Amino acid sequence: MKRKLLFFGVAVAVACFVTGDLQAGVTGKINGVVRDQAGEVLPGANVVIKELNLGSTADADGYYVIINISPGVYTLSASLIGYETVSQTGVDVTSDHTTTINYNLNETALELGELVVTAGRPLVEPDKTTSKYTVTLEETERNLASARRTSELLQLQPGVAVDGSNRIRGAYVDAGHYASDVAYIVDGVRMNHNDGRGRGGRYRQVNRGAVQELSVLTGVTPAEYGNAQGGVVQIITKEGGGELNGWGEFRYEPAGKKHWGENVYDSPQHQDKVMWDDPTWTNEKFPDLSGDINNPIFEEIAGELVHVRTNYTEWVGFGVEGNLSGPIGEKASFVATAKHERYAAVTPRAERVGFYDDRGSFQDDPGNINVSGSLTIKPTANLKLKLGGMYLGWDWYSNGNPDLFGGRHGSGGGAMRRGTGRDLFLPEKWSAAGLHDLREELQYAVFTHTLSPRTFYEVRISHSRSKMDTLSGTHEVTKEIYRDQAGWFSLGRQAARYGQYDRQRIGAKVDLSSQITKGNFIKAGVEYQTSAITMILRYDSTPAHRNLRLIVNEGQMGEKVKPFFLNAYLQDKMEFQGMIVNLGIRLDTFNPNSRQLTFGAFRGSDMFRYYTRARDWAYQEGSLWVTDAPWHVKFSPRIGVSHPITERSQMRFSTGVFLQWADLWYYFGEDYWTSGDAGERDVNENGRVDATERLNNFRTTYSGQNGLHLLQPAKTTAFEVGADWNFVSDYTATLTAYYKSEVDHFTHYPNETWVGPVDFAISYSRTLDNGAYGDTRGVEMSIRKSFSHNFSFNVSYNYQWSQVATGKLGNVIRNVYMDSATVVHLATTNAYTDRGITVPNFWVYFDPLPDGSEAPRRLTGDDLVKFAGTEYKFGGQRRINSTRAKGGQLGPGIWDGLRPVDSPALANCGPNCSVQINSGSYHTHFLRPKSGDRRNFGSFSLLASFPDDFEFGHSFVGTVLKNLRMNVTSRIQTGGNFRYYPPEGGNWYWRDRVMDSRTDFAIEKTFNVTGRVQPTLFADIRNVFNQKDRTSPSNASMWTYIGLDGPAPDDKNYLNYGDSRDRSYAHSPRLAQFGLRINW
Amino acid sequence: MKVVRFAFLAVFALTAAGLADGAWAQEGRWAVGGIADYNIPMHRLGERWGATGKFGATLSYVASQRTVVEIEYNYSKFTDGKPASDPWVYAIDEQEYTHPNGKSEITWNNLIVNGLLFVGEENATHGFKAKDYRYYILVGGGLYRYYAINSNLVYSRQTNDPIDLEFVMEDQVDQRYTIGANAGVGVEGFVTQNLAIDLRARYNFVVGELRNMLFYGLEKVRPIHMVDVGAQMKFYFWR
Repeated sequence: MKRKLLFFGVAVAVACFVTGDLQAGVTGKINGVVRDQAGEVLPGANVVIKELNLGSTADADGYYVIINISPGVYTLSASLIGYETVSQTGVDVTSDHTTTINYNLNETALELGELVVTAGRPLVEPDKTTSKYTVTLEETERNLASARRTSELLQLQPGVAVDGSNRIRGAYVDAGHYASDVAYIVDGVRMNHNDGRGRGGRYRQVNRGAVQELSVLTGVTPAEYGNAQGGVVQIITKEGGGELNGWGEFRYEPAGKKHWGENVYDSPQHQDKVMWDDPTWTNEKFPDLSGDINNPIFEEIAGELVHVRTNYTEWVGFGVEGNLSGPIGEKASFVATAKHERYAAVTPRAERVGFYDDRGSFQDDPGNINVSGSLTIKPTANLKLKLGGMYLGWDWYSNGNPDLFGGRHGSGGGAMRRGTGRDLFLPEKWSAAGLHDLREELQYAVFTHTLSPRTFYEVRISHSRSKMDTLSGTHEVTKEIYRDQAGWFSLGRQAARYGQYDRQRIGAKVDLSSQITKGNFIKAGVEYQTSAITMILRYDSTPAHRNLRLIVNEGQMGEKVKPFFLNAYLQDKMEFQGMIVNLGIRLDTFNPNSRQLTFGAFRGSDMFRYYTRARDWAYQEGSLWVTDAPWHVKFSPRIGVSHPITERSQMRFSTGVFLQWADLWYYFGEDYWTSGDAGERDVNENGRVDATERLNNFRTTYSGQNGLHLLQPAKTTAFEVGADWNFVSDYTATLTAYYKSEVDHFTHYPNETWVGPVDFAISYSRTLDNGAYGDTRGVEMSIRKSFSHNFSFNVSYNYQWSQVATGKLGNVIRNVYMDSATVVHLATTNAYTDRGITVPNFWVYFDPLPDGSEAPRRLTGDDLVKFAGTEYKFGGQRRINSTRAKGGQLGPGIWDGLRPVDSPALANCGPNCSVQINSGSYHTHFLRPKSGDRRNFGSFSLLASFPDDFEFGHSFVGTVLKNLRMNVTSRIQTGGNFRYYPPEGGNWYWRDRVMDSRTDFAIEKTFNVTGRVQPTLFADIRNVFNQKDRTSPSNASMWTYIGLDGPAPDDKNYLNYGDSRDRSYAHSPRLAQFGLRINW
Repeated sequence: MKVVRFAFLAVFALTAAGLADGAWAQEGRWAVGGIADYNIPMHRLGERWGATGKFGATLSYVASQRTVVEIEYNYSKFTDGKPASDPWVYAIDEQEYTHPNGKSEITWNNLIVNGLLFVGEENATHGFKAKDYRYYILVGGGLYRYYAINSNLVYSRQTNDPIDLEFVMEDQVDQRYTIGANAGVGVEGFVTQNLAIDLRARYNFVVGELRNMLFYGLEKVRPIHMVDVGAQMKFYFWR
């Protein structure tokens, strides 16, 4: 620790005293030199941003700098008495970027009019030390017809996956242990939080009308960004201007079949199970299941026909989105946005209409709403307060699936969802386990205080909350699925599945930015975030196979865990005669702030195997088996260097360390089940389940996933070298090579086994471990043409390998065992006294108490002989005598990494006395492609936009084209990986499946462009060429071998019924939306 | 469907046509041309098909003395591909067979925009008079459409003994509208003031994929490479 602190101190000193330029994350900077016509510098010249009334005075070298500028396009004016005033219009300021504007003022004896020149956005940013791609407000507004969601703008940026996942350069998104390692940051406040058992990082929806600037940082991000090893998506929201304006959009989606293949009611997948010609089958009616299934829907539909076709291909959809911004008095402004969608489901669902989330996934809730708003107050030129908020709410019919967020994991609990297959005829609004209500919200305040022209600080306070509850229709018991008379199609079932979570975070962050010298721009910040999390999930596969997943504090229902993060960073962006060095260091600390079983394997002991026993007897002060969570302290240095090659090109190199905390489930989660045990244990034998006996039959899940507060963050060291080249006109090419070395990544392979004395052994449970490693390497290319001559385009392409292996020597298997002396010592010494019961340090059995709870029983002499003198079974295969437990006796080999449990309870036990945690090796797996990895992916977008004064050829052509805008967007990626088994024999190896692509086309025409209200008609066509790619052939090996992508021609089912997977293609068929947008 | 495609291509062409701007005497002139090329498949595409003809038309616009913007449509079709014509060994009897009615072909329909850059100051002043010529570098890109089909291929994994040569797989189609680029060099020789013969050679790179057929010893084609050399007769309209 001392060495780390020393290193930090040295780094700070270096950063401070080496001769910088770095902007606040959400603002930009303008600098330059003011000269006269002879080239002499002009000290004292005033340079002002007219729109912001923000300015600076040139110093003795004629140098001026204006910091803390919100992204936007401005007019910059330079003036000095005796000189002609020069104004530059179109000065584009983007976040984290320095816009350099130099002036040459003409000396004049007369007061002349202002000279106005137009500045362009720099095509090559010489101060860019790592990959960053920015979408400005203008670009967003030019793409409103083609980009239905903000995320679709993001997907066209180099390095960002085109499959809708928004994965960046092989990063993890919605991926279990990591949740999302891409951070979404709105106005400097983190939006997505990895605290939802792998699904927590999914709230990242910002309405298009709220976005001022969207940036994606795909490389080595500056030190102010942490817990984001994959990259950063930074969204800066608009502030209201001096006039009331905004836009509102209505989109209409016509009816039609939105999937490939046959109508779902005639699909080959049903084989001969649909019998539309059979009157018995078509006239079958719902029995009254209301007595068997606790769901009111069955009362309503009893007696109605079961096998009924819905006209789902005739359902139409629409979406509305709007925003309004404007001033409130002279010193305040507001922005408000709202979005609501009612698009038709592709196949029959519980609800006919719903919305598409950020990832493009359909959620069948007609009641969805996504709103955001901000209020900006500028009481003086130096003070600004921005209050912002966002809210997304929707409901979800639970299908009984055990996953918290539905539809992704397994089918235990009887997952059923109306739509296809055997669940085709389930009633609308049916659910197996009630209606779940989901809410995501974020509120924040950003206070900015400019202390001097070169120094400002920002204070951010934020609160966010993710909440889910089950509104109605919950059940206590999971029952069998009822089928129709033919025994095939589902009629319904009830599933005992109840989910509730409440995850709140409060954050505070202070950032100080200062241009301390001409060459040094320092930024430093401190960030604190605390969370309050509780999560309860009950789901039963059958009455005897019940599951319980929890995040609660010390086992107490309703008690929240309250971990906290405390982070700090220091950055210095330094300029040496054109070369930019961006140096930074980050300190990440995390304290789970909980008291937990020290190792997951302890959950396998008799003492703590059952939920109620662990809850009641594990956490007391004095317990040998728990520890207070440690602080995790980590440093991560970052450095980036850029240098101009010519006036129109630059090169850059950057490297840095990135740390990624696991999803918080893996620090706190508890996983229990009742495998084959229906009901609870009647401990006090009074014939009923007392409150104290509830859940007392739930025990640690074999192979379950439990949290462990010792888990270290995953570590990625990233390298990048790249170049930007404005090779002709306004065409710019970017080429970047990147490599990410990934160590200490997460794996669930640790099989944690209690090998010590036990009455009943379970094979193992699991916690997360830092046992995976891998790397990502690739080349990224883009060619862009900025908008001019009525068009722009952008080509992005990545060629990439991203691979991972689980298994690292000495870090995969953890076993706990004790020698005989330890067993005797611990069983005969006391740990603590609670409720009048003196509890020994170690026990195996429990005694029933009259209230139905249980108390540890002290081991008898016979017990000690039994448990301290015999061999104990391990893993069903190996026997380890507990008397041979010391590492030296086991000798070298696969058993290494012994770690004794450090406890005062073992102080007087003798020289051979210890509880050992054995970290055994496990075989190392070969590297495999990461899930979702695509070797090639890229996009192409072309925009053509003709102004109001556009003339071309015949006047009619000009009339048609003017105020017309067209977008062509094409996305392409090669197939996912699979193991190819050569039919002629030999070893398998990795190959990829089928390439898929999609080209979209959007066109819009605006009318009355000079008026106050400007209507725009548009059409947005997806998959305009109806591209049909079977990305998952029936048999990928056969596809590779003989080109067969469908079923084998001698497949009997295929011959009888046709291709049962006739809907399985990468993209939907051509779909169009038509709309009207009104700008005002 | 075809209407949509046609409309799209028309709009695309119009868009591209609107991009240019222009003070040289020839500036702003338009030309139409007809193309006849020899299209040579390269790399793995060349392992499947031999060279074939390529035909098309162009609409050119003289944007400046050094630049001509050209919208090109071209068509070509490779036939008699190896997936259908090469012999193969049936695993059951280990005898060699061919596909009796097998067909393997790929058809291209491309709409691209080319920029002809007349390099060299003096070179750029040439042209637009009889027996004069000028050379250029060509860079272009646009929409490439391919439709590859293997049909009537005998199902080699059948278990019949003797083999049933009528037991064929369904058509295997790889088709895509995709993007591609081309680059090359050419020379434009003027027969008259308005009539030119344009000789060019260029390399075409297409983002696309043709499936593996390892049984026939054919690896996946990705991306797709072609070289074409040929001539174009170009007629410049009077101003």
